Amino acid sequence: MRPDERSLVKKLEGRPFALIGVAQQGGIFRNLKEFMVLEKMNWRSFVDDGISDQWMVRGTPTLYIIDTTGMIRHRWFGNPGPKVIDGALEKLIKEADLDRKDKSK
Amino acid sequence: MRYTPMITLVVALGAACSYAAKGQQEKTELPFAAEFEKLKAAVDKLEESHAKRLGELKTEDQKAALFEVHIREATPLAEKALALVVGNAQDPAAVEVLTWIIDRGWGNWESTVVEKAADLLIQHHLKDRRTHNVVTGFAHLGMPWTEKMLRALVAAELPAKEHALTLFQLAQCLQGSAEFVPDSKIFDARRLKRVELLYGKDNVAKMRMADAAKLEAEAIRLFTDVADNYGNVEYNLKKLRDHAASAIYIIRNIGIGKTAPEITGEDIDGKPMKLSDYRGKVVVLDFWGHW
Repeated sequence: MRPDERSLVKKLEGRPFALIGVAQQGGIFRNLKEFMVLEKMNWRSFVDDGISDQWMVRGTPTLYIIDTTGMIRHRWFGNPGPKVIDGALEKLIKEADLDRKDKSK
Repeated sequence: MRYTPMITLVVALGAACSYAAKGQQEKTELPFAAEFEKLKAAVDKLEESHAKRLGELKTEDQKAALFEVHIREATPLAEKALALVVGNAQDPAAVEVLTWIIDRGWGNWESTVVEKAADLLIQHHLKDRRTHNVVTGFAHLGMPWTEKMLRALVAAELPAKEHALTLFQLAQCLQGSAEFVPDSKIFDARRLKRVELLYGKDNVAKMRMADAAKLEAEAIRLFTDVADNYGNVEYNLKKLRDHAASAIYIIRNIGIGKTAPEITGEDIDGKPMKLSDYRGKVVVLDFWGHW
């Protein structure tokens, strides 16, 4: 999934969008930072210190879309693919763009 | 990337449905067995051909068009299967065909055929364990036919453990229906079309207009009933009490349509960060691992 995530971050640079990770510990790489550099992960991640438990996450990847007001708008268990994610984001980001333009007037 | 559970769950569909219905446990010889086998083989062949064609396509529009063609081609096969049993649906031999129509229906044929099969099972075979088995895998999708079948099973006075499971699954169904309402508001045109093909256009229209708060309230009530009265029943390696508690927490705190709980923590460099720092942006929150 990481190439898709990298493309998403690049494509939406400058738009009202953020990809935020929650990095679970205890995998193959002991050093999360090393792994993120290796994978060229150009987005920020929380170190998971109980966050997965708080969000009842049972497997990875689990993805949430949260809108500009902080409301949860969508959830996927597993990677639905870039087209599905793009489709879900498109409407929300357009609304966010318009909202920004209105506020700047 | 493969979805990796943090613990390995063995989801045995219908594993908990161990009750014996009178005279219905033994496999009955189907009078139309040969015809049914032909139809099953035809569906398998169509699925194989669809998968091959899908692999050759490049664009999402092409894939969507192929999906519509597949539904159009497979639906008559399911209708023929239904026609084999509709005149004698009360016969236990019909259960195998009706449950096959439901089990294979998702992504293969129009939901109207599945709904007719479900109605016949509700009318004639509520106490056959295969009826409960087949709806188990679809409970969380929150479709009208799954809700109808689960309500009928709850009312059917099944043995205690199975009754507990159907109550739990009905709660899951209502939770799924409640989440569909806000979720469907961000469907783009292509996703909406796909969902309409899977669920049925009329069903989707009704589901989008449902009262999500009312569905959630009933789901919570049922989960609470399950936790209080059937909490020790085992299901998918955990007690129903624990499943119910998780579900209630999700509905109240991290369900679709809810305000995301604040996350406070540190990033990989040890710098503090909060989810609310990103208020005003559309956020994709990605729980990931490196297994």
